[in-house]
Amino acid sequence: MASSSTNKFVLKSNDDVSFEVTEAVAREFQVIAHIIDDDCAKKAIPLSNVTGEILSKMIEYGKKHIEEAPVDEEDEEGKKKLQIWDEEFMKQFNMEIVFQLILASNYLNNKGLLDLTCCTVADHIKDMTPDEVRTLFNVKNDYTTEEEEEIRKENSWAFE
Amino acid sequence: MAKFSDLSEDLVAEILSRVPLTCLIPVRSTCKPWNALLKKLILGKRAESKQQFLDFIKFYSLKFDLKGIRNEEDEFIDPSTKQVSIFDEIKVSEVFHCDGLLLCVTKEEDNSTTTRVMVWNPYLGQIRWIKPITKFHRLDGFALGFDNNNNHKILRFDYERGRRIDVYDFSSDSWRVLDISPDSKELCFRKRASLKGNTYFFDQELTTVATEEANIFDVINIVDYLVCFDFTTERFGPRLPFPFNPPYPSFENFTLSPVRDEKLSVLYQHDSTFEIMEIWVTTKIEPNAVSWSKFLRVDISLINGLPNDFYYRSFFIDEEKKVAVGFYVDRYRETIVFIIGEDGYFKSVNIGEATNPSDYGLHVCSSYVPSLVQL
Repeated sequence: MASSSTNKFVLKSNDDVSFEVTEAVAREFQVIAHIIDDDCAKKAIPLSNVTGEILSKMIEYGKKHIEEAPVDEEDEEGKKKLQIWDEEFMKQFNMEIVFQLILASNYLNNKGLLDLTCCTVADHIKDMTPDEVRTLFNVKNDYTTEEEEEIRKENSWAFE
Repeated sequence: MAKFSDLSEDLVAEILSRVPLTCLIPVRSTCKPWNALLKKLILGKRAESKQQFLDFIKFYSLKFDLKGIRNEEDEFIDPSTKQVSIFDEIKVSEVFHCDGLLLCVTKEEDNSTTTRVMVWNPYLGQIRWIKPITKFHRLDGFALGFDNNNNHKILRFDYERGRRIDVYDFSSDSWRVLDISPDSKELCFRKRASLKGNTYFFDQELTTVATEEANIFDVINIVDYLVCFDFTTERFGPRLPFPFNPPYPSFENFTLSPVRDEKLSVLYQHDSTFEIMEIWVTTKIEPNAVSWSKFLRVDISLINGLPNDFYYRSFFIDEEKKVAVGFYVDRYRETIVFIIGEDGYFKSVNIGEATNPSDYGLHVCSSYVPSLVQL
């Protein structure tokens, strides 16, 4: 049986971009790990919900987390290094891309990347006004003027 | 192109649950479904009893992240301290935390003996000034709690009327005089902690003998106790023992602190062995029963970097990480957080200037979970 470090798989995005990855990297995404375990991965694995652009970023993330995985629970230095890399990694994306990464990491089931991307958005909205949050998420303000005033009054001084 | 609005409610919840508690305002006022979603998330958090520690000194809030506390370089304090603007106008002398609500006693002009009392829900941004039954005196004692039916109440020791005990009901916005008093005159109503709605006070029994001079007594024995005020029965419970056996009566340092909302911890230093700091935590705690187990025993003289006169004014413990975290204000008026653990583990973080050394009482570091109680 081939070892997982030499076993290769091809991941194919919905716009027909193919990426050859090692089994270890492929297994970073739980959905793909299941496909491999079910032995359905003889040829390219099509991923209908992910574009090539997003998939390449996810593979970059997966590779890094395989290569630089902390030795064990106690490896604080290793964890720290990876954490710094994560922060730098996220800095290159605009919110549109971050959002697509959330959907894709949820779809392919990578908990680490889902956590990282959600934290990025949470960090982004913590300093925004309600109007900016509404625009970003494209949600409608369904408060009446009175209710909005009420909430604003409640909040005008709390943790502002 | 995909939009944020394509996110499922689960994914929106994933994001919102990661917004710091102190920054939820833009989220709450965005739209009704999100406000409702947040309430659900907070109720979930309350159920999990997640630990978020806030220090309410001067109404700045600090958030501690204990996950990385054992890491050498990790920042464990959220540096984005926030001040609440309404409190620019108000000076506060004392803060008492009960289940997401804060009871605040104001500090008036220097020569004034009166004071004002308000209760604040930081999450809902609501405040209620408590109208006095008789003028509040600055030596009055106050505690906040709630009964089995979740009716919130305030307990007051009226200093000018021989520590008469009054109870304020939030539901009726009125005071009642309680015809009870604690067994002891030594009950220390500033050393207390809130747990499951009730308040636990530090109490002492003094044994004295008369001396040759009139009105002067020698204290020959001191025994320390814990006494619970039960907000449901509105009675004091029996005296409950502490686990210490002091070698002789002397100055002792006691600090009480709740452990999440489940247990009580007590920090103890005896004058004769002041370098030995002990922290005990309850294995069982009810208004009429208590048992203790030792959490930490540290010889602080062996820790390099601790000031000679070090002791915690306010602290909390993390049982998983086996550490105590608390505040000390040094002689340069800098507020320093000290973390002390087993095997000589020690770490300090300077969090900036304290404006006044007498502001010690304002450090309330506590496990904070937002409250949805309307004031």
